[in-house]
Amino acid sequence: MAELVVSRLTKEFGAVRAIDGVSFTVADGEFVSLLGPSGCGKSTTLAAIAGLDMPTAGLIRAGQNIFFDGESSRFVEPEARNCGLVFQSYALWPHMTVAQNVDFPLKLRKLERKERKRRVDEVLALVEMTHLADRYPHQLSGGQQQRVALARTLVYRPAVLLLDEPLSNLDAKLRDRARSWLLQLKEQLRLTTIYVTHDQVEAMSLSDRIVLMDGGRVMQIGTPKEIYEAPANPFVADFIGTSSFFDGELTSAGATGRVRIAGDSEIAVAGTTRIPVGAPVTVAIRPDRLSIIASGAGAPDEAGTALHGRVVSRSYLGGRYQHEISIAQTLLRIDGPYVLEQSEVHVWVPASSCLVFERGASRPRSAVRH
Amino acid sequence: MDRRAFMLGTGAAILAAGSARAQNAAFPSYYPADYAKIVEAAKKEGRLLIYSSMTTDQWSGVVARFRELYPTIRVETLDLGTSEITERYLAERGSNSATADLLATGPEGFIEPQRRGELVDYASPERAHLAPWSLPSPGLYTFAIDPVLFVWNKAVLPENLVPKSFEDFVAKVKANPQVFNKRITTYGADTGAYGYTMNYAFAKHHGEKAWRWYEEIGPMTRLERSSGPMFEKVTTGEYAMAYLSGSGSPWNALRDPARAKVIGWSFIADGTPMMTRSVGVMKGASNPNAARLMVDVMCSLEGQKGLAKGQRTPVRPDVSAADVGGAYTYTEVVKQVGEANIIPVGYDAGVETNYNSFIARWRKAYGIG
Amino acid sequence: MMRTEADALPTLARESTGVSRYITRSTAIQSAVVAATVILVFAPILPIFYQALIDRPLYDDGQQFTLANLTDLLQSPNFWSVAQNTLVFAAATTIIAQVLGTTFAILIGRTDLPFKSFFAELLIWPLYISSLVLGFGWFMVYGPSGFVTLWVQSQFGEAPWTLYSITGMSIVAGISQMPLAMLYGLGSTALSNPQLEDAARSCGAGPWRTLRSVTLPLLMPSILYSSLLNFTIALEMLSIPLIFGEPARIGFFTTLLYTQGISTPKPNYGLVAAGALILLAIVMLLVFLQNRLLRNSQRYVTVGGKASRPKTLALGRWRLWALAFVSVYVVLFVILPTAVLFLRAGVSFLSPFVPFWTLFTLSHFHDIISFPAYVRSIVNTIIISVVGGFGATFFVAMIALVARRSKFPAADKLEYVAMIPRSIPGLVVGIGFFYALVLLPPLGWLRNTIFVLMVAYTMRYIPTGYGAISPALVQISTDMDRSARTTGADWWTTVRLVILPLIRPALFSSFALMFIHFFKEYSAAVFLFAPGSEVIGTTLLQFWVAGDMGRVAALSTIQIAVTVAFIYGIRKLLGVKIYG
Repeated sequence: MAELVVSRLTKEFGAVRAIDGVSFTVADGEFVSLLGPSGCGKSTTLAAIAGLDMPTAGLIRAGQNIFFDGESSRFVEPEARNCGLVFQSYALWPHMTVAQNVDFPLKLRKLERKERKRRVDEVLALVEMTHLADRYPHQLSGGQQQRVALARTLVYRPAVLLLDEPLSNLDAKLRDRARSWLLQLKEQLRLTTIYVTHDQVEAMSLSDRIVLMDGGRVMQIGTPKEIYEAPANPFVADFIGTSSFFDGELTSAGATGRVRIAGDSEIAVAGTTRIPVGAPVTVAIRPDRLSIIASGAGAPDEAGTALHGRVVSRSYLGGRYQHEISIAQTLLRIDGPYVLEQSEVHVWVPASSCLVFERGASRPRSAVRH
Repeated sequence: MDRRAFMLGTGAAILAAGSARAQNAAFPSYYPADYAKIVEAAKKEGRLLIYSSMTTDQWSGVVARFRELYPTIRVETLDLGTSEITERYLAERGSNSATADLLATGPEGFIEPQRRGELVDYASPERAHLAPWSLPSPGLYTFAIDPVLFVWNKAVLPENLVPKSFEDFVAKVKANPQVFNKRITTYGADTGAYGYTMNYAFAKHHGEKAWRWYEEIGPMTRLERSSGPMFEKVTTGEYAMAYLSGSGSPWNALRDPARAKVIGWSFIADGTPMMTRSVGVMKGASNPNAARLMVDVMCSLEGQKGLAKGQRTPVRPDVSAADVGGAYTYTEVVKQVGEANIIPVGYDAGVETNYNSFIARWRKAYGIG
Repeated sequence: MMRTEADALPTLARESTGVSRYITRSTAIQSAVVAATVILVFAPILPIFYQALIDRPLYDDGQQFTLANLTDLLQSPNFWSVAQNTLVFAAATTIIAQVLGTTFAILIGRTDLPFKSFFAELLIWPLYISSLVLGFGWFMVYGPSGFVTLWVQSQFGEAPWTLYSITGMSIVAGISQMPLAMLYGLGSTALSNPQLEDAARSCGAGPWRTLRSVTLPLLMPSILYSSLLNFTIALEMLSIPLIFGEPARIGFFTTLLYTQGISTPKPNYGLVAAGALILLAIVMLLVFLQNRLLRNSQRYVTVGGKASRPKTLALGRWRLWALAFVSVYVVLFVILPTAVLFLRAGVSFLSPFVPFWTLFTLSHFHDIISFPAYVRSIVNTIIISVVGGFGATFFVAMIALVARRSKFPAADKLEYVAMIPRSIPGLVVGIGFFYALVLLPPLGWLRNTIFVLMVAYTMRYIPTGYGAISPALVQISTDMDRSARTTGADWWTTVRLVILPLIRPALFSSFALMFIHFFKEYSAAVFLFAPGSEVIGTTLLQFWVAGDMGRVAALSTIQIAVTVAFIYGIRKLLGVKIYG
């Protein structure tokens, strides 16, 4: 029912900039996640959209309604924005039953009793909480409270649905189930939705597009596949999926370039068109493309490098083994169905799995080093 | 003029004069002829507000008499402490708000109002029947007194240690510290107008002797601020004796014969202070005529008897003991103690000017910091 | 459930641009609350402030500014020993009241102490009685010729205590103020989250450690508020220093002001006003400190978004000890003094020399109900306490909500304003209002009515009610408000339907406190009452000064009985337990 536009949004707390020039658009009916590590500004952005915080500068618009405009100092109170916000803590009102909680927004809109009952029943059925309608929040489990919180926002058909880490308080099994249930709901309702999370699996599985944030800034916006396949910088590469990183120098550029890494080996890398030769670079490698080869065996028919390394650790993850292999002062993590007994291995690194970034361009904060 | 008209006119005039006199017949003959005018005006006013330091009980007899005479006039009394009376009146006057018609309190309460000329110089017809000392200044009428007493606990204080005079008392205290030390009490001179004016008059009467007495017994005295706790503690025996104590509480309490078994009292043979209470019509009165009526009632014989019903000691010389059912009157006290041994605590210019030096000396004598 | 146009709901969006954005129902209400608070608090203070700085009474002409009142006060003989006495007394009183109050709050609010409701009722009784009368009751029991003292003396030769010392007075005052600390604590314990304690226990902390490290610190907001309140009350307390301090010649700040400023032959209200200013400065400093300590009040949130029911702590083998402790306390310090008070009401006098059973009489009660003025004072007091109590509670709740839960500009400064009244002695509040009304003739109609008493009392007890409500607010997570706002409720609706219901126990505590204080108040009424608007407090004072102790006791008995009946009845009506 509305396209949400956030443009150059900034929020300062004293000297600290919690969000700095954040811009993105959510199309009508689109499901977008704000993804990032804690402290990246995603919850602050959500609060700004909901109207619970007054940003310092920027623009927030839902369709033709301007929620906030820093230039004209226009600010719409949260109750007038017709957004639905599901809190991380669920924020159910303890003195009201489930049904009363859900009924509250309808009472505000002065609907008739019969109409209110119809809608409340409808949405409780949607979240499968009809049988608990007369319970009080403290009598419900976490998962049940969450569903009631969701029902409370859906009942008044908000233009925009905002969810603040709704699954973070659930255990793993429940989270899986809740995730697939949310997916179903999403398909059913097609509400313009913004979903805040730090969990990439949630973001990837639920979203139409992802806005990746770090340090108050937008790192990359794209579909899950785009972000995974073509991370814009090492931070994204590290945050989505996992990567291993090599530092080195670009020795030759082109469709396939070469990078000299520690220990004087050179590896073949994918497209490096915009980076000058000789520049210091970081190479990010996706482990799922790596494979163990017998020493001296011939290269598979693709561009790549065979690297020699030492097995540092082996762990069993249930159905597969994960090995850490030390190569050129970096630990590569590789998963495989079999355990490697030998201490020295050869690893085939296809050039296409090596993404090159100029060094100094957003260092991932939690790069694996040893 | 027509003869008939003349006769009628004269007859009417005689009738009128006759009825006026008939009205005046309700009042004693020494009341002015035009007193009825005041009464009429007062009835139109319809109410009366008095600020006083007397309780409703104490007013009951007087108010009853007033209502007998003027049933349509509503009397309201407000019971406040002395300083609050004055402050409230002056503050209300200062901003031209409605305030009391009469103030009825001790002399210290009138110092400021008098200085500012707030007293109406009303000459009550009852003046002639009052003793000269009870007319301290124009417009002011002393209507009641409180003798000041020795009060003691009979069970704690053996018969032989009961003093007659203050001199006697000091000697006994000095000789029997185990009985009296920290077991005697009085009003602090620095706690309020009552204690101050009383001690001032007492010291003035006895001269330097009084200061020697203060120095002897002062440090052994526990000071109290109001008669309530003071008298209660004497009753329970916490105190053996209260000296220079007000008579209101004790006399009121002693109507109970059981109390009389425990409590003894006497006047002070060599000098009994007499606290006075005066009343005056105030310039700020909204009901000046009703106020005048009340002053007259309070000073009248019947009014004075009514005062006695409220446990206040009347001052009119012609009130006899029989009139008040055996309670004390000024005359009776004088008979008991002797004229020379009455210390009237009335208006004294020195009270105001010597406050600081007196209090300083008194505190030193009593050993207060 | 596909969305269709037919499902569309009436929109709540408002046209909000420019100035009209600032003028909403909510901001109008907030502005009104702020304005009313400021006016109410400063109305009596400004005349006093002014009086402190001029050289003659307010109503005189030719006023000159001077600092002489302040310097005179500071240079009075013994000022510094008096100041020291006062601070020691206030500190000791506060410590005693807080330790006892918090202990009882925890015992009653969170543990499985037997007969909780019975004890809760009795422990609060001292609060129903004005400290003047309480002091009187104590001295009839523990004074030099009190019942217990004499009995102990007869058994052991000597009674090892005296009420005529700072220690003795602090104990009396501390015990009389304990109910305040307890009530505030109970308001908090009703909202506490036992999971937080369970977390500590599961880490290996024993019950005492948990108490010290988790339970107590989380009660910090209410402890701080009630400490501040009790300290200020002790600072400006007049009655106990008067009853016990004067005979013992221990001087206190309030008795100094009273002796030198009010009860002298020539009252010096400039001095009294200067004293009030000093007290005000001290209290403001304390409020500032308190605010700093509570600065990061998120620490104290216990009612978060997740709902859970408070659990009781099992006392285990301490149960019997706790029971013994509470019982002994109740008997010695609540039942005995009040019982003796009741006794005094029914006998013509009390003396160890006459067996009291020979002195029974109903004359005191009879006297009271036979004078219209006295009956009127009882009726007036009931009206003022019920109506005024409701009004004051609502008003104070609004102040707390605007100060702590709204985005009104400088809203947090409102709390300072709200704390000011406590630093002004009751007598001075009365004087202040008296002058304020006298100086503003249009308000003259208020004078001499019971309404001015309601207004003056409300002003005086804003901090008391505030201290009961504000800590409870701190414990309610802001997610509660925020979620309501996002579903479409404006500030006022959120306050009405979400926050106020959640702090019902604290609201009731506040009403109870207001009712109790209004009922027994006397010092603020002294300058404001008139025939027709007498109250129990002023009548009591009249009896006291006249020495009618029997009537003092009888009227106090009536006072306690009515207060207990009302609190009990209203609690049944509203269905709220005093300890949640």
